[in-house]
Order: sequence, then structure tokens, then C-alpha cells
Amino acid sequence: MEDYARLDRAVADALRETAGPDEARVIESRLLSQYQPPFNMPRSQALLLALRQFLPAVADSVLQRSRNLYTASEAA
Amino acid sequence: MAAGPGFQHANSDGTTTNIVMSDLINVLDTVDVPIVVLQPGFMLVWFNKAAANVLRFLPSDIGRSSRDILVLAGVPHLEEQCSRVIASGKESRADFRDGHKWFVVRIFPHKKGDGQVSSIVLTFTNVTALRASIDQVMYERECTKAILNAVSDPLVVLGADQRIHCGNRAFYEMFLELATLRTQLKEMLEGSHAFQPVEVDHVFPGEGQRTLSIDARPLSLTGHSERRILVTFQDIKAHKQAEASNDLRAIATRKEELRRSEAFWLRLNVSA
Repeated sequence: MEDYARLDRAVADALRETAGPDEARVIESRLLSQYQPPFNMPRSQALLLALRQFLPAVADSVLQRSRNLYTASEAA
Repeated sequence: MAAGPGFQHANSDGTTTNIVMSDLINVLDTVDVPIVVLQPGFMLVWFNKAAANVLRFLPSDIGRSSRDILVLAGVPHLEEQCSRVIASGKESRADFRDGHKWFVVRIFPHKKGDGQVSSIVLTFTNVTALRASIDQVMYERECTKAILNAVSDPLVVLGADQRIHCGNRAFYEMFLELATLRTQLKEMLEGSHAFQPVEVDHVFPGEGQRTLSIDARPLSLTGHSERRILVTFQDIKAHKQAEASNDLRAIATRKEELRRSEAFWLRLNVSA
């Protein structure tokens, strides 16, 4: 990963767009408070893994949108 | 609240005057999300009917500082957050608990025509059910994982693209090359063929050769279009050994029967 700050923004925006701003806040806080990542990793990556594990239907959309946002922010 | 506190505005001399916005207020009173308006000095100037009903705001709270109003005093770092919103002009969010209810508080700057922030609008979205449902999903998935991990036979769930969705501990401990099964799995997903159990001999480091019977069955859930496959791995080495042992015993028994038969006929021929 080239730019973790950019990834954080991309994942956060993708989750907000997918689930809604208030819902995204709840999902992120609940998942990250209970998910134990296998090793230390950036918050956004842990969030993606937790989504994959607990809310796979949401994870697919967020992952796809994150990828697009991350790529688009690189080009901008 | 049109008939209650109304949308009030604090003048520079400290007096309050109602601003005639009855239509807008009537509309806002139909919204079932609590809405509260603060002046930049954190003084309450307006709230809608839902705020009165859900968060127990009273008409007498109008004109009071947020820190003197029980509900607003319970929002963590509200004044700090409002100050940041005023300075940046960008909205913010905070978590807030009121008894058994959880809210996400949206702190939004309301700007005048000149772009200056004239007031802060707070909305309280009830997320109690959402929080509970996420916690329940996590709990149930953890329970399922614990149950699967307690099964000694390897189990794995594949997605429609044949990627591993999840597996139990025994599966991860007993890694197996699945390439040979792809055609069968694909046919099963397409619905053209049922999966026939496959026996695979595999040498595991430290454990020697094992014979695994691999079976698969489609998983479908009502209301979900996604298709998955449950793949089961059964170690049948002992069963195969027992079968082989039985085969040897059967051969030995048959040989013994033939030998007796030959001896009988031999004796019969001699006596004749």
C-alpha cells in the first residue's frame, strides 16, 4: 500500500456511501471494538477484514468502492 | 414546536423574539428525528417536537446554556465539537447514550448569507437497533465459528467463485490442494451435476499418508441469491485400512474353503 492516509479516507468514504453516514459510524465503532486483527495493521485494513468476516455483503461493496476512490484520489 | 417554544432568536440585548416560520416549523415537527438548534454561544434556541418527546426537552430550556441542559450535557465534548464545527464550517458527529438508547449526534453548521456560522443544528439519530443488530451478527458468527472449530473433520465454505469464504481450524491445519475438484464444484454450482465424493491420498508432513473423502453440497439461504458450497473432509484412512484388512481376511477364508474342498474331493477320489 502506497499511502495509508489516502486508504483510510477511501475506506471511510466508501463505508459512508454504502451504509449511510450515521450507520457507518456505528458499524465502524462496533466492528473495531470487538474485532481482534491477527496482527497490528492500519485501522482501515482492520475494518475491511472485520467487514469481510462479519458483514460480507457490505464488505464487497465497500471494498469495490474503496478501490475506486483510492485510485481516483491518486489520479487527482 | 410551533405552539411551544417556537423558533426563537436571541437578540443582542438578550431578549428573544419569535421569528415567523410557522410553515417550516410545522414541517420540522413532523420529522421524527430530534432536531435542536444552538447559537454559537451554546445557548438553546429551538427544538422540534421529536426532541421534546424523545429527549425530554422542555420549553423552559430555551435560552439556557447547553451545559445546563441534562441531555446536552451528556453529549461528550459537545462544546468542543461545536467550536470546531464553527471554526471549520464542516459537520461532525458524536456518539451519545441516553439510558438504553444510543444516538449518533450530527453537529451541523448553519450559515448565514455571508457564510458566517450563525447557529449549530444538532440531529439525534437513534441507532440502538442498528448497534444491537451488529452486535448480534458478530455474536452469532463467533458462535458459529466456535462450533465449526470444535468439529474435528475439516470443513470449508466456498463462494460461487470457488474462493474460500471460511473454514474451520481442522481445515486450515490440514491444507489440501483443491484444484482437482474445480470441475466438479463448478458443475454442482451450475446445477448440472450433484457432487460425487472424491477420495484423495495426500501426504501430510509429520503425519504420513492420509486418505480423505471430500464431499460438497450447495448452501442456499432463503432471500439470498448468493450461492456457496460447504465442503467436508473426512479422514477415512482407518476405514480404508479396516476394509483392506477385511478383504485380506475374506481372501484367507476363501482360500481355506478351497483347500478343504480340494482335500475333500481328493479323499473322495482316493476312496473310490
